[in-house]
Amino acid sequence: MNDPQFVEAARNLAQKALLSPGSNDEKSMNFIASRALCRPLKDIEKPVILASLKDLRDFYNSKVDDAKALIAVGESKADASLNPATLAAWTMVCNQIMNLDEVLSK
Amino acid sequence: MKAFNESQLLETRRHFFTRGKNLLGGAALASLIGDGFAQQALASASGRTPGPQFPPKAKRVIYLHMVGGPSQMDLFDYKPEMMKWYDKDLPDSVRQGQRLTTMTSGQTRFPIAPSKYKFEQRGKCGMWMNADLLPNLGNVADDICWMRSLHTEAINHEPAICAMQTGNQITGRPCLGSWASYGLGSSNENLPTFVVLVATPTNREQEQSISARLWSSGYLPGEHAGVSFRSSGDPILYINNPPGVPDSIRKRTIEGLNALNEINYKTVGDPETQTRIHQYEMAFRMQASVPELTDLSKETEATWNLYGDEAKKPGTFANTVLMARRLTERGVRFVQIYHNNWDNHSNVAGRLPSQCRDVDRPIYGLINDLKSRGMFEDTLIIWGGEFGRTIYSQGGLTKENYGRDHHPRCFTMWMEGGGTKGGTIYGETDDFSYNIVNDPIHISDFHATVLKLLGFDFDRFSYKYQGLDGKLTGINPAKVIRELIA
Repeated sequence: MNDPQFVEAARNLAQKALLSPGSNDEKSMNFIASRALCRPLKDIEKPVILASLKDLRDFYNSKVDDAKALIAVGESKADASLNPATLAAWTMVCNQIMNLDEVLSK
Repeated sequence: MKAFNESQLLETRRHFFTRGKNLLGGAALASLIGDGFAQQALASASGRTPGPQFPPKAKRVIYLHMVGGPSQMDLFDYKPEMMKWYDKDLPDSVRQGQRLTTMTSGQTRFPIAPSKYKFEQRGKCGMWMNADLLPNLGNVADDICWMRSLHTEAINHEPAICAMQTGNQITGRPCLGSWASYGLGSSNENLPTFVVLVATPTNREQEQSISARLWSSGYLPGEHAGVSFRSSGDPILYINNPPGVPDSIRKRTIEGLNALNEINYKTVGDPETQTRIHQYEMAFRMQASVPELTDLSKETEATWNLYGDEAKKPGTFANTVLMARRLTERGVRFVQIYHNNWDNHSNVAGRLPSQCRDVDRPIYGLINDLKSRGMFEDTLIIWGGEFGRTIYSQGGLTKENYGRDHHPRCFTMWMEGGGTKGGTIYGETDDFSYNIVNDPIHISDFHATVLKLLGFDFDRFSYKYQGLDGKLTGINPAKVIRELIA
């Protein structure tokens, strides 16, 4: 969860989701789910993720330095065209999903 | 609809009934025993802790495993008769065709190597001990329950350590620490129930590999596996959040993560999903508890006088023993310490002194420390290796130096505190320290006795797995050695 490589991977997955054509929250969420879970999200799961996303966005919008520190973890560089707070929030969403029991061991 | 039906089938009958059983069994136990233990067991993270079957004498365990197999006849199993046998061949009547390891089976001779060390009797119990190498341990000889007649089937390290830890030479069964964790549950929700510390010996000439296989929870739920703390750097890798992630944000993501895992658990019902939910909660709490745990700056001068200055150096045996005291003091049930390099195939005279120096004073310090903190009575300390060593020399033999090969037919271990009978000297070997002549203790008997001290009947303390009642003693005939219990 806190291993720099794992955090970096989460950021790159978030980046891919955000850079995919016509992305919005719903599409980004499903983009991540299809790669991590190999299935679309269930309706019961979506509100949980959106609630996390809202809190994470609020936090990183108010603490841009923290956002920049988080997306600097790892050897690859974050895409400069993305808003750091948005990327940081989605990085943590990916970190959350990538640590699900279903992702790690199923 | 199809996907929904399929997911419903994923909850197996076994999962369903196991859950039901634990719910009812736990409640019944709590009302029957009515002590803090069972209630505490119910309150444990998973609610899957059965609790002891009768009041335990030992509430926590510190197990000091001397990896490699200490030489019993150079430390505890006094064989003065052997002086007359110097460089004579081991009689066939003693060996009785016993298999040897391939490290010595090709030797043309098996010349007797009497111990080069002076022995003396220590304590009122009169335990014969090495007079030079264990001066401090001798001071507490009467607190210790000596067992000179352990025996095992395994003759090589990996299967022998595995047998010592899990009751079976084949990897994959739960180890003693996991059984204790499963049986007794946690008494500090901020730390793991079972912690493993691997000490670095002063001399590292002949270390054996030690790995997480040995502290696996086997078929018990994963939360009962040992958590290994590293001796240098962060005690636990990646316990700290990445930059830009304060505790509040980590907490928020774990809440979301657990909510999603919970959804998954409700659909599929795999108990290992619950294990993971608890692990994340535990990991978050450990972010706060571990720095306090490993901060030795508040230890007083009295501590350093007891354990010695070596204890200030991370990774030394002295340091891990002090950590064991800090862990058990904070409610950790089982601390497993491994101290390596006891595998003295050659150069016993060159290696044994530093091995003993590593452990002698710290163990004495630990025993006294536990006494002064009122923890002596209910903390069980176990000391021992995975097998013994041969009376005949491996390689060159002189009066001053020799080597010894693995020997499973007899070896010495000891226990202390936790309801054991201090000053007991149990078991006897022949003049060659080769065969047991009185009161043998098979490692399964030892396991049965330890479980008894922890409040369990070894034969009834089991876990359903693949249709079998899995037990620490497996299908071995075993017995509790009553004479060892106070």
